[in-house]
Amino acid sequence: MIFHSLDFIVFFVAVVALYWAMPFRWQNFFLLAVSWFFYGYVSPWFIGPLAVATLTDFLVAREIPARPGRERLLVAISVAINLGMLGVFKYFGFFVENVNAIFLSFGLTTFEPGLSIILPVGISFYTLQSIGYTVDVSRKRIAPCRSLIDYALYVSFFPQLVAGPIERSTHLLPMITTARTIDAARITSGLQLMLWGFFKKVVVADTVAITANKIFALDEPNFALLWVGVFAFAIQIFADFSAYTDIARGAARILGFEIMENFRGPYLSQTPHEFWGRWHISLSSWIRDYVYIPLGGSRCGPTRNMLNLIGAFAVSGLWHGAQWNFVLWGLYWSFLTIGYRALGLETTPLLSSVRSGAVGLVKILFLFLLTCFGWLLFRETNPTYLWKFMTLNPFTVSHEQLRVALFLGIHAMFFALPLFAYDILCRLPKSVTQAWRDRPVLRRISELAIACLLFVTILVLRSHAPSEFIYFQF
Amino acid sequence: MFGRLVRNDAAWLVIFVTVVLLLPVILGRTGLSRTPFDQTPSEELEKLDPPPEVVLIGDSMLGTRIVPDQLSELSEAPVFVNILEGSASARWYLYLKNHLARLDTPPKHVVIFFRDRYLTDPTFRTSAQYQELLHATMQGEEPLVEALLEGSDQSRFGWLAEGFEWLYPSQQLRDSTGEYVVERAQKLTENMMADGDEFNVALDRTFEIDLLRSDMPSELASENLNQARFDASPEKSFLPHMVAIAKKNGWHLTFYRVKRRPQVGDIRTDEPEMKEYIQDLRAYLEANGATLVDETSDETIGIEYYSDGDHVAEEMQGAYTARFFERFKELFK
Repeated sequence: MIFHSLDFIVFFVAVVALYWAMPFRWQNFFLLAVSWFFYGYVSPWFIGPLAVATLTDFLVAREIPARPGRERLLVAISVAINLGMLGVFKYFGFFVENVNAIFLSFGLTTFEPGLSIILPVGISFYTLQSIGYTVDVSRKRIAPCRSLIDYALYVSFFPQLVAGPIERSTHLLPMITTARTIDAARITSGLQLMLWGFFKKVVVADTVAITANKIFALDEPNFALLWVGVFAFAIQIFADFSAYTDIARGAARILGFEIMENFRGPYLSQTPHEFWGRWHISLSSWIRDYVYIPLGGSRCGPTRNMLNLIGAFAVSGLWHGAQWNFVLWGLYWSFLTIGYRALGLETTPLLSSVRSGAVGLVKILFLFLLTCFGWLLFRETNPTYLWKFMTLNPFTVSHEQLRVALFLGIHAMFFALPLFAYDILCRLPKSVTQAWRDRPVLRRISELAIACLLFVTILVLRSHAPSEFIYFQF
Repeated sequence: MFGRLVRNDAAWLVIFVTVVLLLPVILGRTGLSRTPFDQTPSEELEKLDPPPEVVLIGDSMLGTRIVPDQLSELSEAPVFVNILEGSASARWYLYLKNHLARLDTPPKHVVIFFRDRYLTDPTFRTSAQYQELLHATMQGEEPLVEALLEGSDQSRFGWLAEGFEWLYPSQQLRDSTGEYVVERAQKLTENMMADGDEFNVALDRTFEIDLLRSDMPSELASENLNQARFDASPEKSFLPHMVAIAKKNGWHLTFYRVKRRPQVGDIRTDEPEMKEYIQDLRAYLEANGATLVDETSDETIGIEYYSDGDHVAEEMQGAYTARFFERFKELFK
């Protein structure tokens, strides 16, 4: 079931009404049942791998305290089963394709797999969440969950099941096992967040997607047009993915849960390090905690540290999809991070003076350009086209082509403005917003006005070409 | 009193939901509307004396192939050639429904020029910059067009969607807002770079079909159009609706697939998927009393016919028109 559908709205209203009408002892079971219904709505067989991951990690984690000295083995079993599933469903085709390419280069016979595998949506998200739990239990950060229902709900909680945020057991499990109370203020705030998410998806992401898709469908776009396409894609992917997170967080908040933030104005970052602290936070922090730090992190020599960074980013890239361009994208970010460190650009100037403010602005713009280049690697899966696009001559753009590119760029920018405005508002110093915060009546009325404006905009400016969330494919 | 209400969380939740849901109800009743229906094509058709027996419709594929005056001279029957620049199946359907079907004396034959799969891609040439042209062909509410452009509604709660549309009748306002945004962006662009050809022509030229790559969807289609199979479902394309209008009005409908620019020498070869698609399209049309003419395999239409992309060179248009007339002689008697 997708969030921006009538089916979801009917489903969610019914779930909220029933959920708050029942006693706590039934709520988790009910949420688990509706989460599985939500997940299996289109393809019930998707529940199979979800059930396997849930049961495996529940049983493995229970064994960890009972078998001291065997923690590593048990965690290895959990990791092997989860990654094995991910490997079969997500990377099997990629593996076969690459093995065949190697065979072909040696003149050997290639093989055709007898089966075509459909990727269950969300598998990349919930396997990481499940692995994180067993590792946390082995590190004694959390006690093994005693109830299978509670644990299954932790893995399958419907707002964040399909595209995250990838929750931590130490954060979400305690909320599941503790009684929730209905809170009107939180429900209002959850509704606002959902509305903002819907706006970002159906007004911004789906509209700029048309521009990006049109340009990337051209056989030979000119330099100006290509970069407008990349810009449109940069807006699309941010609006699309952060919209999903906002709807997920809003829905969870209405149900009494506070799930983690996934984006904090990433395009206003000045350095790669800052960007990854603001973009897909739940994945980057997961990779930091469960891949980068176990590899040694920064507590080792510079060469080893560099290799750790490259490894962590490559994993992050490959996690996104079974294509080499995603690995390339991950490696690109690792080189950017290393480059910034080597050049001493990692320090973020405080925006306290005009001069440092100007420097900060230049750094933001520069990193945004580099981020856009990264999105080109991410968006273009065909290596021939990628090379063609990267080698376009900027000096052969005609007047007419420039006009068309400018028009499409202005059109995309119009839709991108609310996102940038919101992120800038969020970055305003507390001293500026304090007066507003101190006046609850004014605050609530302005929030109501914004909510009305968002709803009206959704009605009149929603895209004519609704599409699925980009991250569903991962 | 108001301050107390606002501070009370539960009361505020009720106020919030009520205001957000009810305020936009007045929106659709503001009277703002999109580009109105343009009567001119109907008036042009009605003025023709004698009324046309053969009507040709298409985009630049028709415009760069057929010379209307020459065809009229060659033909014994009255012919009307209507070139709808930057058009595709959505506008062709609307033209048939809102103009041709309203004629007192209906034509006998309608011929629609098209390329490859674009006859069954309802979204092709309907994005922002084409909206104004599309709206000028829409008469009042066009629920079928709205449904096809936004993809078929798979929801089990269609009644709720209808209720929603009734509560917030914002379609006209939505269309006019979309047009406004495009217009402003165009104005800004023109202010910055004033000279040059007409803007829409430049835009069309940029996204011409023959400039699209083969491994990507065309415009808005979510699936890979180049791999798509023929689908005759009424909720997937305008084709069955065009066929139904023709049947109802007693026209004979011919879909004319033009030969795209040859790839090697004078030959244009279809991929196996395309061959299968065309076979299925032909079978469907023949079963429904319409005809498909496909000139793709005609090697006599050589590379010398083409100027840029799939367009026929000006100096060859006369020869092309004569060939076309020869092929359809019976039609023009």
